[in-house]
Amino acid sequence: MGAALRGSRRFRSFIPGTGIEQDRDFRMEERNTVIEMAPIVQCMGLTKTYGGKLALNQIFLNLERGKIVGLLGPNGSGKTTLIKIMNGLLRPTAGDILIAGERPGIGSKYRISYLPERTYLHPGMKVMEMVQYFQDFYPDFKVEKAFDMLHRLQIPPNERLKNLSKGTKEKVQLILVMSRDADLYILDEPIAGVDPASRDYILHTIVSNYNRNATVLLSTHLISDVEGILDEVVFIKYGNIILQADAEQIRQREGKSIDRFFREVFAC
Amino acid sequence: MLGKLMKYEWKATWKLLVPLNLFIVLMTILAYCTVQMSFFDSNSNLVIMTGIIVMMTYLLSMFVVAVGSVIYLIYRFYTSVYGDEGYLLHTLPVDKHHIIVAKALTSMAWVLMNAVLVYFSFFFLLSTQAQFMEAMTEGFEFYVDVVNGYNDKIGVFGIVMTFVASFFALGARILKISACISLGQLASNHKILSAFGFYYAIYFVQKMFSILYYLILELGMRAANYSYSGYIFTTSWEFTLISSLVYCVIFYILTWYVMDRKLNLD
Repeated sequence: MGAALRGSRRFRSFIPGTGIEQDRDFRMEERNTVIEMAPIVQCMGLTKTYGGKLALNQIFLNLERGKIVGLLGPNGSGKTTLIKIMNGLLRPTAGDILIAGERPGIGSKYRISYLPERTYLHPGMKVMEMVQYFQDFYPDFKVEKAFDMLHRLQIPPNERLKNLSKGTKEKVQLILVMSRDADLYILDEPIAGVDPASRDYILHTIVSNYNRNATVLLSTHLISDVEGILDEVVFIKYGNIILQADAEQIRQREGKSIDRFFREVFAC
Repeated sequence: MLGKLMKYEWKATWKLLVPLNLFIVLMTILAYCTVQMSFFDSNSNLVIMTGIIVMMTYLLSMFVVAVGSVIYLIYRFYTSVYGDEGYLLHTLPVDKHHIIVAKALTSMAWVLMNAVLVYFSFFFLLSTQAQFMEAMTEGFEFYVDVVNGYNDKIGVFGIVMTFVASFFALGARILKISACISLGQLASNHKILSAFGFYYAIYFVQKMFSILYYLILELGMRAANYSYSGYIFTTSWEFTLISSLVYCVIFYILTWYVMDRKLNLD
């Protein structure tokens, strides 16, 4: 973990309700235990506006550990904005967000493995150079795992990224992201740019490669493709969380698939 | 992490900038051969024309490579920090200070390398001309005389400090561009246009400060009955150094502020 989590440090705190200051020694192990117990994501009144336009409207959301969560909503509903704030790529206008108990920063970046909706790799670099890049910056990156997945998807490590198709570049990005042993995987539209035949493999890659104590937050509007792997769903509409529930419970309660239910909720 | 960032910044830029700089070396050798082989003394128009084309290409290559390198470095900063590659850069567990320093130092290294190459190229080519070497020697002696003549404390020290001041002036220019691109990101639309707007606004303010400084200096000299040119000459590196350091700090803070506190990747 980050430098902030190493070693021992003295914290000041107040006795609740008294305003009396007390000094306590927190060992880092204790602090880490507290962090491990905290929800992996906590949004408290999170609001984001672009100019005068409201993108997120006072969102309250907790995501627990060890689940695959579908962040589902139509285009422009605020999915990507929420994800960018989690990754520290956007600053919220109001409210607060905690990743494993801390605000987005260097510490949270050690914990999150993020797949954006766009290609973020330098086109002049080779696939194996990108593997080296991830290995250099992320201590939890598993090189063998990455090369194994590249081999299984028949992606040549010596090929430059600019020579790969858009779909193959997305596969490379997914491999890099899933080769980390992160606490939270945030995947923004991971299957949107690939052919239907590859989608099953990608979903299989996600399910079989994430750490079981970790959380996968998967944003997509291709619900029928992903609903089989989801433990929990979050519906987002016009910047508001309108539903957060267990996927199986929805199916039983509504008597229909998540995809069907989504179409009814978001019918134009 | 700073070392790793610099390593990858270098790897990302060298593929274009090394060939560009090698092109200068190639053109210098060609131009040198043209001069040595007395192309311009030939009776053949074709040979003279070839010599003219080589020399013009040589001069053009200096300009194109110098300007092209700077434009590429600006483009590289924009795309890697605020473009698609920014999604990777800003999700790396690294300090924003390291990102700014890595980019600034790499850009400075390239600009310096290019400048040194251009100077050596000209020097190499013109060193074959006896008049040039005489002029160079006279010019250098004149410079030292002038410096020593107007201020006993400055001599070799003044010359060294002029280079130091130039180094920081280069850093200030690079950080100014970083700051302008970053400030442009604060606009909702037309971010590149906004960056140009900030650049010219800052340029205007800097010029105003320079004019104000020299105006005050002029008035001070007149009051003390100093000779104009000499005093300006000996104090210019001090002004450049101090102003560059101040500008470096200001532009660094502006870049960091936007990158850390106001980041809004589209």
